[in-house]
Amino acid sequence: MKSRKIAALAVTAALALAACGGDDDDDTSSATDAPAPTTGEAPAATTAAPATTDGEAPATTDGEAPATTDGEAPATTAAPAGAEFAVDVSVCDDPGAATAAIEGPITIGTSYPQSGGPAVLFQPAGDGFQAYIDYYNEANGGINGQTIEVIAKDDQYAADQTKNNVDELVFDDEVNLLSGIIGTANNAAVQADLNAMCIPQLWALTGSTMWGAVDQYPFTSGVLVPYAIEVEAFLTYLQEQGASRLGLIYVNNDFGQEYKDAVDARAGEYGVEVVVEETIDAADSGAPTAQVSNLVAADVDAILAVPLGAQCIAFMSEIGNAQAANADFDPFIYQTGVCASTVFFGAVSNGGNDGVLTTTQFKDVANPEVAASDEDVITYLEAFAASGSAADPSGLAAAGWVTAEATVHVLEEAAATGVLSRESIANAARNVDWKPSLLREGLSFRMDATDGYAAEGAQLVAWDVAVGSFVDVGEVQSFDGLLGVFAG
Amino acid sequence: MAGLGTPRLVEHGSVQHRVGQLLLFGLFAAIFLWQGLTAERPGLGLLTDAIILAIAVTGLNLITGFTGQISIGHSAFFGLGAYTTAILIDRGWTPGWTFPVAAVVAFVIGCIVGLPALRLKGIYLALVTLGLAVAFPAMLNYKHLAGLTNGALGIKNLTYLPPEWTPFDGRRDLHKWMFWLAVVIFLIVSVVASNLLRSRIGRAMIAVRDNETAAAVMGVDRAQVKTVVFGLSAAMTGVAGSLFAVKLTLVEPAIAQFTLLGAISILVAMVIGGTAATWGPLVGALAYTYINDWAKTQGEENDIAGLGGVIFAVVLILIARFAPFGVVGLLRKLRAKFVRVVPKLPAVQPVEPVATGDHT
Repeated sequence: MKSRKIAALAVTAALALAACGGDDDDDTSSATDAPAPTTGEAPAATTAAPATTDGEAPATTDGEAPATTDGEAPATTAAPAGAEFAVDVSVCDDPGAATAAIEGPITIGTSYPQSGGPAVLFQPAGDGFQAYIDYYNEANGGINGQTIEVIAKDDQYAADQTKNNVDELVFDDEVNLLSGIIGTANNAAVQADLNAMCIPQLWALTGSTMWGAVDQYPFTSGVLVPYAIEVEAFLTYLQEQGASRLGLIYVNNDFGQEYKDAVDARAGEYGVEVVVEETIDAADSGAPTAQVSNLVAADVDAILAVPLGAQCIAFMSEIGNAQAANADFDPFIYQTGVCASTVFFGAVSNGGNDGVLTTTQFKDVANPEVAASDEDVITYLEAFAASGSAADPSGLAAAGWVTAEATVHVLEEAAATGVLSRESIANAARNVDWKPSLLREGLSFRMDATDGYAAEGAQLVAWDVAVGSFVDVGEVQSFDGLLGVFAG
Repeated sequence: MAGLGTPRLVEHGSVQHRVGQLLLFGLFAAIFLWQGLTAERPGLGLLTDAIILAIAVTGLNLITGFTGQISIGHSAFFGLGAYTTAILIDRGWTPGWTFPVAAVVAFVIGCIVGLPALRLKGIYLALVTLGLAVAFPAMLNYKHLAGLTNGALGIKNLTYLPPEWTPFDGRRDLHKWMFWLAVVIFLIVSVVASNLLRSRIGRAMIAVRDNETAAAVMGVDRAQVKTVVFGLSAAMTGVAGSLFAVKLTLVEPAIAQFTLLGAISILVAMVIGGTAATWGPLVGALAYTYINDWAKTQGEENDIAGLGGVIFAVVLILIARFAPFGVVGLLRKLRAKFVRVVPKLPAVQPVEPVATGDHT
């Protein structure tokens, strides 16, 4: 009889397990079917509207014209270039493999969600990546005659599956390098082993600051704006606006923790004090009613929000409810760049999204004027359409395109040294100084021995309910060299 | 004489019984050897995951299956073992030496957690262990423990490279090393569990499970039994967590195996295999892992979100309905149509006639 009771309890629990499992982007590493929280990566690529041609001011208090795409200088000056970086292959498991010339097709391995809930958000990045590679091969016949091949494996956003995939890519498929892996935990799961084997792990599609560890993990680099830079951009804005009482609400995983750490480290520099902190459980997709109530009660004049997936919409909706109930509640609100998509912002119907800030580093490919006038955007849209992908090109697809473009640029630079090898690829990545075609004017990718982060600049944008899209707020801000290197 | 349709009776402990057990053991050993030598990387990785789960289920089976104390908090012990290993490796320990330490730490915590079991039973004890499963991930994120756990960022770089004395070639054969390490640890844990069940404590465990009051009357120290078995159970599950940590090479609070969902997975695997069945943990872990993997594949191939979870749930319901005593129970039932293992009867001693006196 006891066995039957236990069996019934287990089945009931298993039904709950099945109901909870397979959730969308609330999942991360898991060998079981249990859902795992996401670490929130790869924001929608081009979410902001560019400068309008009718002179309409963006949501700034000084009426300043929005940033234009005419090559105008960024808001801050770039840090002077540091020393050139060179990897030390003597510590590799197999130094010979690291210096051996790559011959024949250049194979790039990658791992990202292609099925399950997270795939809806992240699959377009893979499509964009492949689209660029196909476009490049067709236009150039590869690099010095060596075509580029991509082997992509599905990890369902689970870090343990990413590790399995990378093991297969390295040992069975024998790829030359990895690029564009999505997810902080996913990249972290393979970082140590790939660096020990001196296999380039280029352009991790996450904004974690971990990828700036130039000395410890030189073969790993990140492609997105570090979360700490997003914080920097928002704090700069708050200082300009005279706001000083910040409420912080963040998801309780490594993704949210990075934002919190950045705020704790830098808020004081801008005269901003964190007066209240609230957390959201990574697996909780419900409205953060209690958390927002506490933010209202704390009388904050600014909020930095780091929700995840569906929480992005729930948070903004709850803000709308709070604003309807409290006429005086009108803080400056920033939401993580991971939420910076028309899909999320446009889904809020009660005005809670109006004026909410976020950042982007990419051109707004969704803007018809940009799509019609910017040659790089035209090239991207045509190539993406030709790829046959059904994904929205204005979403993460553009981030995938940029990631592939950055990968190819590094391969070109490496090949130009005379020997295309894992060593020369890593050196080319760590010494990059170049602007991707879809990056906003005034921004670029730059790294060296003292600067572990390629993308340290962004454009602050705000959602305009009247327009139904993002509008620029102020000018592009560059914090090049600010983060230095990741010390661990 | 046995007629047609009558199952053959085999005495427990007899030569025939032992041969049967050896054949069964040999079958599993042959399968594992075959897989270990020939399986591709993904297949071997999946089998390793199943063995790690089997180790965790062995632990749970001791306290729930054989002692009757329901626990849905074993994910906490799993996570405790994983984090103990991670913290020690992060501080320079050789990974192998962290396993016994993780077992000891989990044993101590398990004994402490077992204290409520002295006064609580059934669903109430389950609720206490449920609280443990829910609290554990939160504790990992607790800011005052961040110096140890590194909070939400977790601890990474936990690769356990094969020692030089093994025939494995560094990182290239890491998947094989992990597999054989899991097999060896599972064998050790199984032998310990088996010996425990055959000991005085094992008999006491079963007595407590079947009738706690009667066990107390018979002189069983229920407090000692429950506490010690909780500790041993936690230790075994903790070692499974240690293995998991070095296989994944990182730990962080968000990992599902450290949450309530992980505890449910261990419980479900135990039930699938068969509660209080010697082969139950292995059979249950294999069934759980491969059914889950197959269900996920169906969902992917049909491109229907959530289909994998639905398939898995349906399979579990069918098992609960048609095999409430688990797969092992079902196989025993089928076996009983042909062969029935009966207890060994004590030898009958000849009785000497008692001298009778003159009744006149």
